[in-house]
Amino acid sequence: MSDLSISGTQVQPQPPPPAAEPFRITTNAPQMIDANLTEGRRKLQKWLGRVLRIVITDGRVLVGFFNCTDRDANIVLSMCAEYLVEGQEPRLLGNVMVAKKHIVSLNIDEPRPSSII
Amino acid sequence: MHGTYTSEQPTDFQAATAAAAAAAAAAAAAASASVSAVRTTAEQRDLERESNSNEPDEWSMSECGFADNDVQRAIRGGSAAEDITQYPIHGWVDVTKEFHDACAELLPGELAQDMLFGLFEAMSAIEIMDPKMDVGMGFDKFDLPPPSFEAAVAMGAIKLDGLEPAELIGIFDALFACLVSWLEGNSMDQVLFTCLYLHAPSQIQDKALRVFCTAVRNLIVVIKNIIILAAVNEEEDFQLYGNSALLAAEKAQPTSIAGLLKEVEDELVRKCKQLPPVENQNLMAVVHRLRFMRHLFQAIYQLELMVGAESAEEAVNEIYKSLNVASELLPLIKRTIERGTQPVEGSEAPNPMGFSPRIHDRSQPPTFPRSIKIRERPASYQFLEEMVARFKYACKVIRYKDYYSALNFFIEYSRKSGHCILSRSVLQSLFSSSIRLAHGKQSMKQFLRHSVQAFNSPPVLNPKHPVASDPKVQQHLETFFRYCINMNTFNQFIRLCGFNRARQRDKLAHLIENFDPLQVDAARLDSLMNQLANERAMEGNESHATALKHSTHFSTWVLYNCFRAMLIYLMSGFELELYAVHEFLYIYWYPYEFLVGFLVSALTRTENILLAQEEYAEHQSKIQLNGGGSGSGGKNRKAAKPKKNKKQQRPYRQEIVYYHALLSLCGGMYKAMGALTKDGRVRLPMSKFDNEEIRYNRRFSPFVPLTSPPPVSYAEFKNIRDHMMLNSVEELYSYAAKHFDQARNVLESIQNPEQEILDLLQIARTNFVVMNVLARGHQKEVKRQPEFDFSRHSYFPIIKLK
Repeated sequence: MSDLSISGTQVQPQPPPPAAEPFRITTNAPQMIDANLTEGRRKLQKWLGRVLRIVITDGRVLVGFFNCTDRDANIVLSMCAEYLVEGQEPRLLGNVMVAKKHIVSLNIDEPRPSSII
Repeated sequence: MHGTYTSEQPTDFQAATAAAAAAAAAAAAAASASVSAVRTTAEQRDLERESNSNEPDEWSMSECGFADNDVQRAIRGGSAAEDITQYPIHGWVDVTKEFHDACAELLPGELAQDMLFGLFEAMSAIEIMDPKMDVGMGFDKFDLPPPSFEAAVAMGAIKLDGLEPAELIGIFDALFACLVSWLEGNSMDQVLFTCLYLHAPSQIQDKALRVFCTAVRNLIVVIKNIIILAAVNEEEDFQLYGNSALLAAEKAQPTSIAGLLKEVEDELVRKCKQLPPVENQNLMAVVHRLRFMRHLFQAIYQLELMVGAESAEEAVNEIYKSLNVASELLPLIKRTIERGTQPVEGSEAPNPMGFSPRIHDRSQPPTFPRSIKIRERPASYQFLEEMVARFKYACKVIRYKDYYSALNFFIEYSRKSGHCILSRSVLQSLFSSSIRLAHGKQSMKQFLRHSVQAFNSPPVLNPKHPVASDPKVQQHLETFFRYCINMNTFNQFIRLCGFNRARQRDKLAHLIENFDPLQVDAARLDSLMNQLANERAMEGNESHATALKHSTHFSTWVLYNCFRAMLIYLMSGFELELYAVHEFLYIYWYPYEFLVGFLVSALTRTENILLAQEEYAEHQSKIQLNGGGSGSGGKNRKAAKPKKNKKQQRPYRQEIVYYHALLSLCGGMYKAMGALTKDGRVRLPMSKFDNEEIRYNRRFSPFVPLTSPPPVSYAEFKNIRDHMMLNSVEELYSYAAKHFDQARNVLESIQNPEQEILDLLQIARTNFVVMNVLARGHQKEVKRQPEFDFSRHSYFPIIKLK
């Protein structure tokens, strides 16, 4: 690379790889509701944006809006509140990432399936 | 999480969503039945939510058009702003297994993400259970620290009365340690206000403790004020913001502190006399600490008050006295550290009682640095001892009544005491108070006028000289000095020395740029003076004309200061370790070829001007005296011969010699680097990735805006350097040796050398030997890069062969 300057012509967006299947994002964007998703992905999509309660290994409880996860269950919460002792005054943390190894249990705030009449 | 996904992801997430949705929509034709089923369930769920929600006028998701992204986002934004502590609204449903199973379906690198989730959210997320980011970690549910002063009292965790001397010593020492940790740049909340006693001193019954804590609280406020006013702190130096609610809780009463402390001291001393000699040791130790606090407080408080003092000397004398007493007490205090209650091993608290290190953790913003290590007690007292010494040294600044000597003092102070923010702030405060007291209103402008007069004594500034009262002259001077003040350059230069060493270089670069308009204006002023000289000459006013002619005073003054700034800027790169070894050559070349020469010529010119003026003044007085007494010529001639004090006429002699030495040292380093490069002993960057011209231009970029000295282009440098490199390696080594030898000679000629001169001497001597050795062919077979040791002097290394 003798020319160290970067001109506009040298940086080109890579052409999208010829994909056999459509590009996949599991998200709760409105257009995605129609997508042909697997069972698990649909559940995740349903839960995205909901309030998630995570109990972690040292006993603390984190409550926040479920923003993102990946295959290894690294969960990102936003507007997260941390309770050292349940019921007491929480501390607001903001954006938080919890790795799978620290997760003890997960709860979603949603009406129970049985309550849908 | 950011692995393969990002490489596949198109640049815009929204576009990707749209693209994917479009693709999905194309494939959805076959799945339309299930789509409507999904939609109905979603709608139903929303209707559920609507009926369950307490606010009937809350928008239901189904009512707003899904197609409209903005509306969608607005609603989501609305719901996200809801208080998270209100949840759960419906109830917690355990989905642990379901969740993990669902996640397992994802491909490696695939994310399930909220549509508003992006790079910012990912980067700013705190990782839980990472000690660097997670504060709540490591708490023991059953051993939570007391949440407040009141709770601690209720729990019986702290004593408010009946404290043993040993306990008092422990608390006082811990508080001093916290104070020092705070002054080193930590946050007030995490350091000082971990002491519960400081939260509500008025509620403490034990008199000694109460008064001490009140003193600490007031001390904090005064110190903060000094630092804020001096404004030479940066965020890495000092945390200005603390829990202001706590600070405001009890009203400050700084004037009564000294009195209260003295009262308690006297009481305790009386008690001491009644106790047997062994027991009263502990009590005396308490007294010493109270006394130290009193004098420290007095000194610092008086500094703040100096603004309203009568004279600088008086105020500083008082401050100096207090500092002296304080420093005398410190050895006594250090000897009795052991008598106090000591911090428990492994605990973060600096004292077993009265401190709750984690008490404010929950109120800090989540990104705040975690557990602060409080300084050990002996180290803290060491810091205080050195700090008091620094303050005492700073008091000397009031002796320097002109810019030149004040600037030199500041530069040296920064070198010695540049790491302590309070010391630097104290110096700034002393200096500005002192010139304000000396010069009254518009103090800086008057100070500069006075300084130019002291520097090279232009006749137009000499109040005794008739030309000074010329109204046109006055007007020109006024314009010039007002311009100097508006440009703020000179003020900035002095304040710059108050910043920490790392920040100084950056600010110097900007300062140097600002010198150009000043130089132009100074040159203009001098030429105006010359014009006036011609006018006066034509009018027949000889004395005025002579005084105004050949005026170069102002441009010399501005140029001198500019050159100094340039040299400090270049050389500071060595201290901050910014230059690679292969760059040393041009960094030393510039001062050798140009800059030091300019400095020497500016100073020499100044000296000559002063000399000429002295002689002219003598000549004038001789004429007057001879003209006055016609008869007694012989007697008068004798009387007319004043004592000539050679030293006084050459105030810059020392400095000129110093710069001669610097010149030779720079020359030696320049030739040495040339020799080492030619000899293959310097690691050069790979030519594929290197461009010397770009490097050169970047290093000298702050000098480019100046008209004087004119910037030296890379081509010129290359010319000169290549010409030098024509010599053989042995010749270059011996030239370098000669330069070092010259430096040695010059340095040895200085009488009563200071430490810096001695250091430079050693550098010159050692490098002389090394250059000779290399010239004779030592280590010819092995071409290793020598070590450059900057430990003796930050500008010049000792070249060490390995």
